[in-house]
Amino acid sequence: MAAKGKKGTWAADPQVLDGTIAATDKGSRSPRPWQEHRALTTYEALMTCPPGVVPLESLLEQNEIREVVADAFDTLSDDDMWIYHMLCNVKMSLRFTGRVIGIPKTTLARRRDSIIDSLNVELRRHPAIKRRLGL
Amino acid sequence: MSTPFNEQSFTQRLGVMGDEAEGEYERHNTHWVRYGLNRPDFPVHHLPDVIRYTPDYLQGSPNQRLVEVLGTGRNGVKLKLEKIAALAVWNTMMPVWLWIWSTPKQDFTEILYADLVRIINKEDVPLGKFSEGKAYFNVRPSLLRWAADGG
Repeated sequence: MAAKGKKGTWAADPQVLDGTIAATDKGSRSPRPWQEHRALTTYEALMTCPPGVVPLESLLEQNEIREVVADAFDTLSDDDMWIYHMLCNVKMSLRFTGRVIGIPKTTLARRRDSIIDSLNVELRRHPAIKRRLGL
Repeated sequence: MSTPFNEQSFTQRLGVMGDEAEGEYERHNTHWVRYGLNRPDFPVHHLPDVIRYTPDYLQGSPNQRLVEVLGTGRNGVKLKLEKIAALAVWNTMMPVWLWIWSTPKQDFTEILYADLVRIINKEDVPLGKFSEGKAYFNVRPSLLRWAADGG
């Protein structure tokens, strides 16, 4: 999905990644959702926000979290990353993906859950995530 | 003398079908530009999948969309799993459509990427492996709505 150098140095364009991780709250309702993107800076977020509405976090404000999420994904094995991508991004069914790798869909569902659990554990370990969750 | 079509290797036949399909796409559509790689004269197998499988065309009208053109024979569309996974990333940026030309039917169909994924998930599409070991699945022509049938 993006070029990755050493740990903590994702070279992905955050605006491209935003397409994958649901950029804004109005993206899905827009006739051209690809034109809806998160503001780059706090000031841009403030200037493009309608009066009386709390501005969305800007890309710069989210940078640290993006690095943390990318690092968490980097702890997955290639197989687990592939399973996550096929099920969660490509939206292939458990049945189809299970047929591709030759395992029953219930076994695959358990494996998916364990991948999500391990991501959860990895993320919750990080101070930035703890701060965000108020832990 | 050139080898008859049915005696050509799978890769050669796929190439011929691809060329025909792209020609037909260009004939049936307007406001398009070439977007993806078109058999560059360097090896592409080490490129990231998302780059390798850049959709073939960017179309500006009537709808703005990215278009992947495919050719198919009597047995249906063979799609590599890695291609469908790569197109998922493109589909997050702009709607990806698959435009499919059937040589035996001399007809086309177009389908939204998300609808194709729905068909794959709902139907028992047969799985196979190309000679180089890459997994593909086969979408039967009867699962698609062809233009001549009002699709």
